[in-house]
Amino acid sequence: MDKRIYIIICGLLNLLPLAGKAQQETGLYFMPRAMQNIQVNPAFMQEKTVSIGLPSIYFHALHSGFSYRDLLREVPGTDSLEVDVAGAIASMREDNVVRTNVRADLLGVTVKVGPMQVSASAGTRITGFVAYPRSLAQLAWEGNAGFIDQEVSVAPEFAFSAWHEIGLGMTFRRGKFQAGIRGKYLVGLADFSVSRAEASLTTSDEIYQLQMQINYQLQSSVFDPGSLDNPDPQYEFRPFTGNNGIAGDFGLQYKMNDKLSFSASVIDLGFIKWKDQAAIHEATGTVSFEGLDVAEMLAQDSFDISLLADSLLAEIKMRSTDGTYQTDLPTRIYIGGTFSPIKSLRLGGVYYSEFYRGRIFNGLAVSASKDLGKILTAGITYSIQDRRFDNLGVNLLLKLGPVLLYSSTDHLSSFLRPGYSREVNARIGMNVVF
Amino acid sequence: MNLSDLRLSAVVFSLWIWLASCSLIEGTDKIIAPEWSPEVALPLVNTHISIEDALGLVDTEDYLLISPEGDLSLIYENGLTRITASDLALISIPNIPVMMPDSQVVIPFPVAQLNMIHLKSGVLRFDYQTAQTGSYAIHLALPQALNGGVPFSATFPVDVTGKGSVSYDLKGYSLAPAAGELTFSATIEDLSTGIRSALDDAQFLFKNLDYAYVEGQIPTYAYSSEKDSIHSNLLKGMTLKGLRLTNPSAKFIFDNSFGIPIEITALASFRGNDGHTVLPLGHDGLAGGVNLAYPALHEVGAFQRTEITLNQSNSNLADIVSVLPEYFAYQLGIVSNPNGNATSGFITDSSALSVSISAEVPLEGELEGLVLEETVEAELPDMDKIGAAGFKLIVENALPLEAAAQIYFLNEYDQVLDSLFEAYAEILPSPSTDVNGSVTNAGTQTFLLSFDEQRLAGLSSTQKIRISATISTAGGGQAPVKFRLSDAIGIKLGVITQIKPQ
Repeated sequence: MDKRIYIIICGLLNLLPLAGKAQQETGLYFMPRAMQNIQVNPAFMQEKTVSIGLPSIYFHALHSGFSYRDLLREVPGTDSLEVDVAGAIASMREDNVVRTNVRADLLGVTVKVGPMQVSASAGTRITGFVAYPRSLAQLAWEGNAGFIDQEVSVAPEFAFSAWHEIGLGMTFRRGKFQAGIRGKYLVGLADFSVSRAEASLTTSDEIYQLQMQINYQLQSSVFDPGSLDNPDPQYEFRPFTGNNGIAGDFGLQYKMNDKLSFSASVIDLGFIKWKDQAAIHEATGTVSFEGLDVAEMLAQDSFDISLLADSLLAEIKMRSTDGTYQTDLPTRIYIGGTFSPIKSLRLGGVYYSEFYRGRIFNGLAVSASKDLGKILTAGITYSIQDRRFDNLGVNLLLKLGPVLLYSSTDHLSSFLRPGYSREVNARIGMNVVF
Repeated sequence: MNLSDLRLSAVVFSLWIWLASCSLIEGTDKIIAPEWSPEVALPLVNTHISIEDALGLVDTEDYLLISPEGDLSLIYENGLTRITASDLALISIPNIPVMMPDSQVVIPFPVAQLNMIHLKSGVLRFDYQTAQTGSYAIHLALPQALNGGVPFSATFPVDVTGKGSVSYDLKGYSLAPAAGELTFSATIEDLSTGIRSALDDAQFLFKNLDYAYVEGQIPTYAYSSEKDSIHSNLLKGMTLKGLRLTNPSAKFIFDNSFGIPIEITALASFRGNDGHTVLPLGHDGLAGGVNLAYPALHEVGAFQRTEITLNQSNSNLADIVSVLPEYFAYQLGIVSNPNGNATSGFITDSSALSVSISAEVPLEGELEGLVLEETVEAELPDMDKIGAAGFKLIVENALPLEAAAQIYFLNEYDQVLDSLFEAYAEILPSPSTDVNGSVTNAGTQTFLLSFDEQRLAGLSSTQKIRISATISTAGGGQAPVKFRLSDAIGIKLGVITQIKPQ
């Protein structure tokens, strides 16, 4: 085996422990003929002089807590399913995440001019994120009796965001190096997210006195949740708003020779400033319930449980103010390489990491793709994501004259055994190349 | 592009489309909902009640005395009896018929030892017979009957021969004898000549005489009030091993407006709540007779107070308290002017002697083995929504008491379904006390009470709850303790229970 290949494989294996939670598309990285691959590294240059990307869609969903089959189990001997909440909770981790990403690319184009390539694109992205601790689910299902004398985190967090993205990029080739940069102008359509999520419940071991500490900050733009103590969600779609932002993609590729290349990129380094109908909502306080004070009740000669509830809720200070805020895009890093022992076969590997909302999502993937004749390219990927080792993906590219049809998924199992899968993604689109 | 490439592509894409169309979710009509029964831990009661807090809930003005230092005493005040002049009937004025053989007659004062009788009612009737003809006038005089300082005299005409009668209202007249006698005169005057002479036949009558005020030497008179009693169910049903109170006291209060010496004796007995222990009240003064203070001649209408205090050193009051008296019987004996003094006194028609009692029992002492048992109607709430339950009870006792109790759950036939504790439990742990009997540190006790589903189901037919308790003062009732306003009890109760919302 070529020593350099050996080094690459060992390097990738060493990154295995870092392949924790990750929800990224890997197939695109190994599809050099799809112009959309500049979304993972702006240094990638297309084969053809002109590539036009027609409307395409990418969809991704993940729930790291449990799969459908972890929650719904077959009842032996019947065709019924029983909801096994305890089983689902047992499958959860300390911190569980639900994510969804939708990317609708409206139009894209790349044009090669000598050693340069310019690119432009426009599209819309929608992201959803919910994180919850396992203890919250345990608390809701099992009750708090199992958490006596413990401080239990019960703070879910969420972030829902949508924005338009208009990008202009440039790729340069000099010798064996290629460098690419892409600037993106962002228009925020709506946002509703948690910027500070701290909540815990403590049950004392004396007589089980309860104390809940809350320190929450929510922010919203265009989407109006109403007030915290009287929610009344309102949303009116507007195609353009006063919420603006910028982001940049940066990439490098080093082609050692015709067979071997390495690449690295940073994607979505940017932010959006939300000011259109923007508001900050805060809820802070400590609520304690230590039991009924019978002496006080007797002195007042009456007891109204609604007053007790009101007095407890009054301990939470809620405040909503108009104000601008900023959210960061989920920034990604790709580090990878490809090796083509023969012209029609490409082997590759990539390590990627995503930084989002104080969390790091990692993944590791290897791929093999083969040109099957002149019009079909098929590839398989194997990735380790979300601490799961059963992520087998497929990518296909069909070239019919100037039209390129492409499709990919990193989770074939989500189609074959959907009930046992915790993640699904798919991309489909069409390009015209000249 | 060749045909084989197209065929291969078609197969691959068809496979791809088939994979994409796989159904993810089964029909929801096959899904069995789970049984949700969380186990929750909640605090129920967390309270701290001091004696001061408890007293604030009730009106204690009538039975509790709080010293500036916060010491507590039970007080009892009640009027026992009121004796009036009419009850004593010391002075009785008879009707006085007197024949007049002459124009003037002297009669003794109706009540010999008195100096003066002020009448609030009375009539003087004069009957006469005359044989004279013509115009005459009859003159009557009673100089010892004064109304506003003016002596009684009356003149009326007579112009017929024969019998006649006149009456005069003596209301407002004071009869003040001269040397113990009253002198009444009656003469007839011939108006034509002015000559006065005696009547042939005359008599006068004092009748319906009633006094508003008498003055003089009131006679010695003995009177016994009717036996009376006071009954209380407060301590009924209690049994007690020992009770020793520190410095209980009682005060008999006599308010006297009779202006004469009065000696009073009081006989009292107490019956304990056991129904058969009877103790007479032992106090030398009351049994042997006590001379009451009385107003002087210039203090008509005023009351003079005499107080007789009973305490541990001069009576058997402590012994009486120890039997938890539920019944108190008493009778008063009154002797007016017991020494037969010649000193003048007075009585009015409103003179009275009020007797009341004021008792003060400081909440300080030793109580040993007070047994209480009470059964109350109770129906427990529906517990279908609850599975097993475990209660944690913490009692922090800073009252100078200790108590052991058991609580029984009874059905409608008074059969015991269950008991709260496995055995009689020390629900009020004894606190530490100092040499003065005041609490220094609270006693703490923790109970863990478990009720599984079966046990809870067994309580569903509970109709009554019987509480049986034995109470002693701190330290087993062997040393005196003192109750203070700040003494308190803390109760904390929490529960771990399985809820079955379905």
